[in-house]
Amino acid sequence: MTITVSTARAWDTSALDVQSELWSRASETLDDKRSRFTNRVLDSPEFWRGIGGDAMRRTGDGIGSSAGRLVSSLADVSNATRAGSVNIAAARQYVLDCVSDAQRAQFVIADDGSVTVPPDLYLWIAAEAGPEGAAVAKRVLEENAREHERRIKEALQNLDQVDRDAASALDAAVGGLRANPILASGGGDLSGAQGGVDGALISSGEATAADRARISDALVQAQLTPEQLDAIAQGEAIADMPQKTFDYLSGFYDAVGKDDLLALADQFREQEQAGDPKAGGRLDALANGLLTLSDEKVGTGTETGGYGQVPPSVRELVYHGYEPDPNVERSARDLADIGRLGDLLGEATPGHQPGAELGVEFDRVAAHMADVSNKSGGSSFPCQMAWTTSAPWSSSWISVCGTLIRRGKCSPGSIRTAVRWISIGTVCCCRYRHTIGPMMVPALAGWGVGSMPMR
Amino acid sequence: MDTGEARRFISDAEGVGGEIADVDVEAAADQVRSGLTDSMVAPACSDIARLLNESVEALAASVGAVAVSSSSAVDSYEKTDSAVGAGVRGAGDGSI
Repeated sequence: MTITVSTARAWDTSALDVQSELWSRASETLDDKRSRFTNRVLDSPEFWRGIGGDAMRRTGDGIGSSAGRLVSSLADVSNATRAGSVNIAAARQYVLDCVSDAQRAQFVIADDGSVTVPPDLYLWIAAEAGPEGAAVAKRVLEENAREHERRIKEALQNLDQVDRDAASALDAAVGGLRANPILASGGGDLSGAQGGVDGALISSGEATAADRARISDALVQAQLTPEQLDAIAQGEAIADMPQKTFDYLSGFYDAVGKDDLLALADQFREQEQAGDPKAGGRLDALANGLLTLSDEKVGTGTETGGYGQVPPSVRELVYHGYEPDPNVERSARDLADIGRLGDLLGEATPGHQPGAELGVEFDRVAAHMADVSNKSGGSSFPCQMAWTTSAPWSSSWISVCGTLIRRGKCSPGSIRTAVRWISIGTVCCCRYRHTIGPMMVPALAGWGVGSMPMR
Repeated sequence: MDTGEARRFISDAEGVGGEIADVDVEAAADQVRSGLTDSMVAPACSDIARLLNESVEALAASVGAVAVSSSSAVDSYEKTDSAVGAGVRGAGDGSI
């Protein structure tokens, strides 16, 4: 027991009432601000529609939800504080009443609640009652003292328990807030609204060098950390990506579209080759952002990545990278764009993997591109047959592709494209613990493609 | 985008963000500490007041960030309105 009589006397629970009232008023004030803000967000489609407005509304909805949690927490903790004040005041008063009772009976009360008979009381009784009466009176007095002591110490223990209970109740009232704290969203240039505008600005062709630098810095800022990439590689999910970051990426890639995405990648690559020290990192970030959006293991707590988050124009390009009918030739531009997309994704940070569904799509593209190589080289080698009859990424299929390309019948462009997609597909396969990784290394090395981005 | 109305929205958001930042949830913490010395409830109050204050600040910052990013969006829209409109044709209404 830590509470003493002097402590109980000193306590002033009116401070808790003040605290309770303050938090109650704060709850009401914040609820008013929350209503004003969320109503303006609700009205915003009247003056701001489209990608940027939608992204702002997603952010605004999240803020409204956070504000609602804070309003509730303030109200709950205010009630808990008021209840704590009442209970502590009652328990404290009981301690003081017990002490007063003992004092009225002429006993001496120590700070820890011990009760003793004062020496002068013994002397007075001895003088009044004589030796035999004094012995009886002494015994009765000491029994009474023990009873007062028991009551006072129990009252102090009760006060201590009520104090602890009040502290626990306060803590429980904000348990939800502590477990799921309100974090500042937005800040800097990361938000869904800004992502949409930035993507549209790139797409418009009106972006200045400063605009591109700012946007690429935002993409760098939006990258997953090495620790998060490690966690994903070990099969863990990331559920705490900031919503603002996710919204920025979603808004940006949706608005920029496939053609301008690839053009931006080309610009970064040219800048890198011209010696710009930041361009390489920006190119990586451009690839990383797309892979992040595609990954089902990346989420914000309310939203997760996935193939559906990949911009439709990119999904369409990937889809056209493999065709149900292998005899239908794709246009040269489609093939070139597939190669450019492969080049871009090949720049992603090592270990940064695509989502499961995007990985499957890559596998299909890789298979089809090998078939394109087959056709372009005029070989009659049954590559497609091997693909359909073998497990994906089996050693036999790789051998088929390798043999096909080693024959020298394929154009260099086709070889590069096929190898690029095969290497990206390998990343997906390794993720699903297929056994192709070790077998790919000698097979690809045998193809004589030195710059293959093997990971 | 109606940029005039959007500017009013931004101004409102800035105002609300500032008003939220002004909400004081820690003012009574010292009084509780001195009024309930050696209690368990006093440090709990202080700890909770800090948590609430951080939450209020985060909320104010979030609302402020919406104002900042929306302002930037309006600036960019006004800068490249026709081109940006073309860039988001997919949105269906030609606005952002």
